[in-house]
Amino acid sequence: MAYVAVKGGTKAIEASLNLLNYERIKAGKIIEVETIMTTMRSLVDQVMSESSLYSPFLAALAIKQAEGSMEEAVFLLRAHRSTMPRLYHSEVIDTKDMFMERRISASFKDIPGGQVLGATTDYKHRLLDFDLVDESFIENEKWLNTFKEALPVIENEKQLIHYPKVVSYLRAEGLFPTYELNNKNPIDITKENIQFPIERSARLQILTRGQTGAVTSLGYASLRGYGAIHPTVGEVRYGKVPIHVHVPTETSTDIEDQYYIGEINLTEVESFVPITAKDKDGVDELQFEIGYGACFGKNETKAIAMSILDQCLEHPEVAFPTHDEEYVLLHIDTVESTGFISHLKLPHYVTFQSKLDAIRNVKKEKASDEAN
Amino acid sequence: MKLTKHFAYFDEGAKKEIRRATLKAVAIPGYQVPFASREVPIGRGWGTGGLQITLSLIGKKDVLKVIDQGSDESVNAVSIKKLVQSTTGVGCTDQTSAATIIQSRHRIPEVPLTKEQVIVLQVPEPEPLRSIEKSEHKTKTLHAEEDYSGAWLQLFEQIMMFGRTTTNANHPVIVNDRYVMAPSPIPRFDNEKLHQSEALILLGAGREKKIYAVPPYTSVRSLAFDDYAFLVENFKGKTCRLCGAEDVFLDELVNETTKETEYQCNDTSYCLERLNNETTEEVGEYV
Amino acid sequence: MTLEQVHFTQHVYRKLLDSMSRPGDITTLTDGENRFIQSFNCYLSTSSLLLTLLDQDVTYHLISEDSINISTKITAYTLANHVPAKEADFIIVLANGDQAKMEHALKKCKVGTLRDPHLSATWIFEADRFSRDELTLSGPGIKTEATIQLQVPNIFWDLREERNKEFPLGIDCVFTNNRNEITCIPRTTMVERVGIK
Repeated sequence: MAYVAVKGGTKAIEASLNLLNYERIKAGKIIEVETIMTTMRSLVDQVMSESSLYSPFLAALAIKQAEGSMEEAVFLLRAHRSTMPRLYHSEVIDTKDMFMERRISASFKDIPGGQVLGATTDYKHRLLDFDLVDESFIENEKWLNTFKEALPVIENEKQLIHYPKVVSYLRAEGLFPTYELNNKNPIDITKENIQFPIERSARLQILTRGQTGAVTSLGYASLRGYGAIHPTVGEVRYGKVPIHVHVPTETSTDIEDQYYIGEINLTEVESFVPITAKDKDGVDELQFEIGYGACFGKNETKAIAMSILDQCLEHPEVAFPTHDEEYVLLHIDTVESTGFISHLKLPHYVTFQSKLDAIRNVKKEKASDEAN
Repeated sequence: MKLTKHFAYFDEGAKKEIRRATLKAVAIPGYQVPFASREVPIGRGWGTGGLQITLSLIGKKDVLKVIDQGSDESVNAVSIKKLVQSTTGVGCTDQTSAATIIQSRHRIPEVPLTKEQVIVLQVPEPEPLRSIEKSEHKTKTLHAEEDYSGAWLQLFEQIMMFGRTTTNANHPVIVNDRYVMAPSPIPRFDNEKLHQSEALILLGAGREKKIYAVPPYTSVRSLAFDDYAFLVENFKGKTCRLCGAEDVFLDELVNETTKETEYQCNDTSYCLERLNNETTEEVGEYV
Repeated sequence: MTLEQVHFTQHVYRKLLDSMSRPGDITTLTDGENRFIQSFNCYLSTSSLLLTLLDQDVTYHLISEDSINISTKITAYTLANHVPAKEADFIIVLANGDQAKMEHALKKCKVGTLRDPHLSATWIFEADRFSRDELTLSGPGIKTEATIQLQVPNIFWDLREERNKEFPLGIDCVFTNNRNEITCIPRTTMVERVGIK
């Protein structure tokens, strides 16, 4: 009779997966993907943003499968993303054309087009609402009807209003430098390895898919004192933007020849940061720069923190870690940080044996030195 | 909503990128070729670099062996095998000599590898100079300028402090007399297997997004001084409690009854094969 | 891409990787004709390599009598862009390629930088028949020495040596022939011609 390998690993994994499934379903409740998608919108948005994959349905499915774990849900979507062929790039989105649902400025009370508060928890008192324990469809229906009836009737507008950017107003006044449009193709960090120093397009991509908590923490650290950026939120806008693609074999740049493939919800932040720059005569003068943040879905805190970090990284000469691009950009990805932290659970028998050997040898040497 | 899965998990574009990087890695031995590094369904830090290389290599006729710290049955090795098998349908084996692709974490098998095999090592930290210089931008410059004084200085400091070098696993090597390379956390015992190897050796770091290689018949020397030679882990006078093997990398165990320290082959499939050869010798071949 | 093509490019890649790991070894890519292969009016081995390596993320430069027609086809099929030799990730020299253009490309093509030696051109060179004993090869991947004969103009070797002299900078070459074979000479390989040191 031959010896056979003990299949302990295979059996253990099988048992563990069964147990996991048991824990998920044992209470006898099932949550519909549709329910997650429509009632957990913030969670769905966060997952889409960190995964850099825009699909509310798949994000909701991932949340269901991950039992609500952010890191697991993002991981599932990221892994799914890498099986998808990426054949086209979208055309540039101009957020001037955003179908606005919310838009505020902390810099000016009266911004051209006006402030639009929209739906926000900002001014909702954070008191647990025990009515939600027994929420009913009938009550909700009633509420909805009252809500709709109370809405002012708007005549069909012939023309869509475009809300100008707050910055364009300041730029016209000469308070912001005007830059030439940079139409260089952006780097796609998911298809190309990044090299330091990094281009801004790659930096923004890493920041926007960064872990919400990590981006917020580093932005906060910078704001609190470990950074040299003191921004004012020029504008936060949230709404829908259309996505178009252009087929590479067609040479026409006519917008009519582009394909509309859908719309996404987007949060965009422009922070105004005063900086000292040299004017054309070499004299120091104060002017503003923009820190930019943009995230899938409604992700305002993250987008603001992103705009701070964007501006920090524009000034690498400052000696705070929040201005060090390797420090910031290499440590905020959720899949990378959670993966490496959790890999410590893997066995390290061989490496530990090797370490033991090294330490014992040193001790032996020391003992023999002392004996002599 | 069901989706059909791709062969070997990735879409073809992802494989192409990994393949091009791997070819460059072979052409520039020991140089860390940057690559985009896709997410895979196992955790970053759990062998994703190795897995990506394996998935870019594997075809219908391949036979795969996966080991984790010497063991074919370690849960993570099993998990990686399951993933590759479920997306490709290829056969798996424990037997080193039967495999065409061997993915390994932190060991090179005891059975010498052949020309027909490729070994893929999982790498947590591909940069051998990281402990000396934290910035990737700067370590890249050090490699470009072939400035390895920091690596040498680190060994020298160990000798000054402890009377010998105290590196454990992942002792740096110099490849083709040019690049200092992290051999991945294999024990020093395995470093020599990299030198003039018959098999192609590929190394993948998923989280750090690097692929590098040691082609066959390439010089790989462990960093050491003339008067302080490179020393491997010492198992002198110790043998495997199961198969009696000497001169292999051993795991240290405590016998629960006698409370004595015992040793056992770390390479479990090697041990098993020896045990089976022994029984065949004793009782003859079963028909 | 069909599943057959997926398996085909995997197979070609493994042969290529093996070949790149063992410079001077002659490797047969596939047995006989293959119906999955889009032919670009070049050797089957060349077409196979192009399908395996090119996509929209890389560029190439083609040297051939019929370069406009063939490059249009290659781009349509692989989505890789045709660019001047000095920018190209791949330089493709077909059997009927003009020698002066080849020389020009060899002088101008990318060899990488000391920081990024991988940003160099890979050459795919149609070299008709392979035989032995003209060139002596040594370096990584070769146990002691290998010999090979390639139908490549002598000037190629002089210029290659010039471009490869500052390792790790250099170019990696894959030679293809009409018998569906390939052989590789990466930048690490020392090439000595018989009688010439």
